[in-house]
Amino acid sequence: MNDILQYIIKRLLWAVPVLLGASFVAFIMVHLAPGDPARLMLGERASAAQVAQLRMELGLNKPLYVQYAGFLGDAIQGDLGRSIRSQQPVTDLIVGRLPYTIQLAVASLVVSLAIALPTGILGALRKGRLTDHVSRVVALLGISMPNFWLGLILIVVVAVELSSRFGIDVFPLFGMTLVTEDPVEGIFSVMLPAFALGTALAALVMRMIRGGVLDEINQSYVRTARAYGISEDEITYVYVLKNAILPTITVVGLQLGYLIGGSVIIETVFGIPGIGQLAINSIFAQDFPVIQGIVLLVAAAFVASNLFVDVLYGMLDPRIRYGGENA
Amino acid sequence: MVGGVIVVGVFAVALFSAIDDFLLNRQLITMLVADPYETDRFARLLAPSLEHPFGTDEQGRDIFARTLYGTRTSVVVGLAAVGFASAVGIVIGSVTAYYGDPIDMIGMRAMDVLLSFPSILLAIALMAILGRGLENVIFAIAIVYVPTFARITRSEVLSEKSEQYVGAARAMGYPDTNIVSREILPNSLTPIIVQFTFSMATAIIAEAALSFLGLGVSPIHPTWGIMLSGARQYITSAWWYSIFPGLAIMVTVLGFNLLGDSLRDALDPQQQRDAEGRM
Amino acid sequence: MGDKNNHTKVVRTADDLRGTALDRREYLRLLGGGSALVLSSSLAGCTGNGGDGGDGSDGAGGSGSGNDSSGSGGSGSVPEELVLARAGDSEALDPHVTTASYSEQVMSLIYDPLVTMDFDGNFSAGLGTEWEVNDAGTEWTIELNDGINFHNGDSFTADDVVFTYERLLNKPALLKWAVGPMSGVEATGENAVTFTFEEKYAPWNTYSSYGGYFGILPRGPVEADEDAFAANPVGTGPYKLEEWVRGDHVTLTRNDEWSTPHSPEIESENPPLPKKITFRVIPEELPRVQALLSGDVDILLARDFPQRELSTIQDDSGTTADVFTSNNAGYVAFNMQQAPTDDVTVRKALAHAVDKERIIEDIYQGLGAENWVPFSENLLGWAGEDVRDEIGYAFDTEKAGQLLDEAGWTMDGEFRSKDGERLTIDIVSTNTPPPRVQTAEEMVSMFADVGVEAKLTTYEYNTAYDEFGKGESNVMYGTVSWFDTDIVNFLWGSENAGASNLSFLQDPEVDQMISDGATAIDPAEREEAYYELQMKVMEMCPCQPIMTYEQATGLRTAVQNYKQHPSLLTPVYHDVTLDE
Repeated sequence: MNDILQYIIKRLLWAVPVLLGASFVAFIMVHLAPGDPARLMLGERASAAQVAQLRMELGLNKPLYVQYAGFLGDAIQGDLGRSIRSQQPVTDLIVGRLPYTIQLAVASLVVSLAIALPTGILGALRKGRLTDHVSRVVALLGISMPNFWLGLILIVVVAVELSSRFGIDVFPLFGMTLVTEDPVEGIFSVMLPAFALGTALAALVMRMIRGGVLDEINQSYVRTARAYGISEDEITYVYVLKNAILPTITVVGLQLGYLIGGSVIIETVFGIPGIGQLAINSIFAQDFPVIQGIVLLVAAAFVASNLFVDVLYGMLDPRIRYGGENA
Repeated sequence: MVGGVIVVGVFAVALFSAIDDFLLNRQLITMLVADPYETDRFARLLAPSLEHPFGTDEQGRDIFARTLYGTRTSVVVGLAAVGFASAVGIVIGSVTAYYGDPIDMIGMRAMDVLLSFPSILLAIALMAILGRGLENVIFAIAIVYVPTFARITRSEVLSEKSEQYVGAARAMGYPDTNIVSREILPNSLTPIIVQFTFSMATAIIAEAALSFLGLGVSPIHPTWGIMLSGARQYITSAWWYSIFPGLAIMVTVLGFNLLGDSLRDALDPQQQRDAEGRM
Repeated sequence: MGDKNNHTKVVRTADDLRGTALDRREYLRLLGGGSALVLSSSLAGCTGNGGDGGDGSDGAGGSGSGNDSSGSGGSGSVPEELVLARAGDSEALDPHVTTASYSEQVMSLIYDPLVTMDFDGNFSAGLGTEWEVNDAGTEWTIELNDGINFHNGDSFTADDVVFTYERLLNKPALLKWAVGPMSGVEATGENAVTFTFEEKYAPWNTYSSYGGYFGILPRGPVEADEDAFAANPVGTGPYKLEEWVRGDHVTLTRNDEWSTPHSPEIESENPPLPKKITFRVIPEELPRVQALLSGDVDILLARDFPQRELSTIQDDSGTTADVFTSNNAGYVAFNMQQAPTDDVTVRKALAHAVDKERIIEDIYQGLGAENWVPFSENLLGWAGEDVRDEIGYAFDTEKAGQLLDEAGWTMDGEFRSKDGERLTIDIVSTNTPPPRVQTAEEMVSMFADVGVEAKLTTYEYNTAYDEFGKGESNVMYGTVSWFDTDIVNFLWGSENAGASNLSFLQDPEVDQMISDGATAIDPAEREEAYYELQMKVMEMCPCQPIMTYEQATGLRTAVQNYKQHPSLLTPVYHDVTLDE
């Protein structure tokens, strides 16, 4: 136990410089951005004097390091500044959008696991046979298809066609309902976007699971178990899968970055009011404090999930020794 | 095999359109199909036909010609971005591995920082700041891949460093740069080449995604992402407009993925699970 | 021009408008001229109502109208919920924080203006009864109506008016420029407020009738928590906020207590009728149009109406489109301070090279009316047709060539040159929306047709303006959308050169004329000043105006009595009923 604690502390300490670096990158990005925030707030019709006055009030004329220290201090307390466009606290804007993105990300994970687990396991158990080849080809296609294109096709083929030909309106053309508001509508409305976003991930996970199961099958304990006359089914489901899949699933957690990045595009395609759409709208409105807040928050979430996965991975797989090299 | 054929084909089409555009003023493509830039108000959104094999877009431009020309942007952005990323990554990876702490520590933490941003979000934010344009797209995508190459190079160099020949070279007084570039790197190339191929695949998707969002190269150029973005509004009325550029992306990316797979299997069967790449 | 016979053309040709301008002028002559120029139709306050709708709640101390309204006169039922589709969401619902049109669409229903401008441009009572302006034109006093309450039950008082404008004056707000030389506001009597201006300020009249931007906020809730207020606004208007899910929808419910005097064109007895109004955000065009076709939404707001879908929506039996002339005009600006467009002959040649019709027909699919000055004909004093007749710049490549020859730029191979230097101009464009990029691309080829080499660079929206503002490029396609002619200050005023004044026009005489327009409180005088200004400026050829955009609102055919203010262009939902 002591080992685990030490390991966790070590990982936490590792996260600090990374987060500091990420906050600096996010901060400096905004300051390299074109356009003067004060000018953006007052509009092109304001006079130069008014703009200068506001720059003072916003502290934009202070040295960069002072501004960074202020930004960092506020960020630690959960204050990510204010939107230039709406002058609302960035934290409020993000928190309001978070449920949609979380729902989409979770649903995409579920979709990807639902596809990847059976195909990956079957592929490995029937290595070299037709099932294996088919699932590998499908996986490759999944990785090769741009998710926004898949999303567009799903809208047309599933939502539009079902509705216009058969009068089935279960899949909305746009938007998403939260499951907390209406569970049935919520599930149907998240299905298409989650499929679009989850497919590539499914392909990736499938490859990992297939590889993991193959590795396990070749382990000496399997031969030993066979020698002891334990049935193939038992070997497969009790030993091999447990050892192969649990670590793989934890690695899926590392795909949080992909899910959030991908949600930027999928939310645009499906009109979902989540973080991704907020990011895109803010980019086109040059609302850099909001972009900065999102980038920072996502980076922090990513670091946290890495940490979590590392710890979980270690706990699930006793073969991992704490304190080892972690590159 | 299939992957190699596709990739060679893609490069050939890209080269063709580059030569045709810059040297021949688009004469070849106009003769073969149609001028990809030429609008025709009487030929808007025509379905595929002999004259327009892939149909036309909302300005009456030939989608087949535009899809062919779009190859160029994808290939240029992919090669330049991944090339730049691998060059920078190799330098960072070798330096950190060869000299060890504290350079190693600082370099790798910097890579961790970059890795902590989801790649597409980082690219999008960079594009918002840099503005549209070919160089900016290349840079925004390249940044994302630097840590991957740095890490692979580092671990390769670390394992090579312990080999006897390196110690021997050192003992003979060779300068460090020579040891790394002439002795260590050539022995570490395999996984880097494999990663390069996989990264090309994801870089091409990233370029298309940026263009699709309106954050890519200038909208005047035909690129697959820009075409798809334009096709969005006509997806029910003109299926060909969104299908063909999408297929072009898929086939190209598939080609690089297949090539990557076979390269990995051929060059280094041990690497099976490591070079999956980051999405 | 395109075949527009099949458009459901509702109002507003240029002629209609000139008609209303004349009416307004005459009307004001009748009223004005005394020691105090009375600008409002105080008739509303005196006779009980200003229109023929017979509105019971009009006038001071409106009787309680809490009882459920039923559709006045005619077909259709009162909508339980009117669903409107748009592409983006409100940013905040505090007019001092944002002027984004997505916010304004909602704010104009939540807040009430001090005075009301009717469809003919006459002013009548709003929260106040009438403006009285002193001789110097610098003090504007208004009597406020009694018995009006905010949505939270607080009564509306002079203090709220003072608070609203003091806040605007003291806050870094986008809107601040619009109150121009306003220097103070104070309560001058129990129910009166006086606004003080440093100089005469004619546009105040129009602005104060615009509830979306210049409505009155309650002191209490705003002072308590500004952030909360921007998300949870309280006004006196016909609708109150019920729910706002950011990025998804804003739902408003009818304010059954609404008693603010309103435009006589609102005909129902107890307006507004629709019990709820929901603004749905549908960013993608395709589903937005589908939603209207399928009946999921009742109205597709004009701002986000995809023009290429016009025929789809007109042809569908369940939907129709209301096409109208917008307040939005597009023009090609020439930088007057950067070679070679610093030469007026070159500018005129470029102007003659532009084929407006091709841009309107090819790129905007006919949804625009050719214009000769860079602002909409809806605005007071628009003199486009006089400019066309007397100054011109009609499309004429031969004339363009002649002018360039005159200026010493002669053909030399594909392009023109002078002293061995090629005639090259730099065009800057935003990269969205697509028609704007296409217009810029078209210009490259139009200029090439007269031997001018044009280089086009596109940037992100705001970056494009920043880049052009550096003054190193020659041509940019600009648009301007506003409902008062004071906009000329931003188009041509020296202080705005390089910012909103894309022509970099800096001329003291022009500045004086702009100021003459802004300080002429008598509309006739104002119109005259703007006429002179347009004639003088267009002679200098600072731009080639292209068109006033036409826009369309998508409507389910069941939607009855939907109207729109002809000059403010705000939708009027108050009388809307639904046929079933």
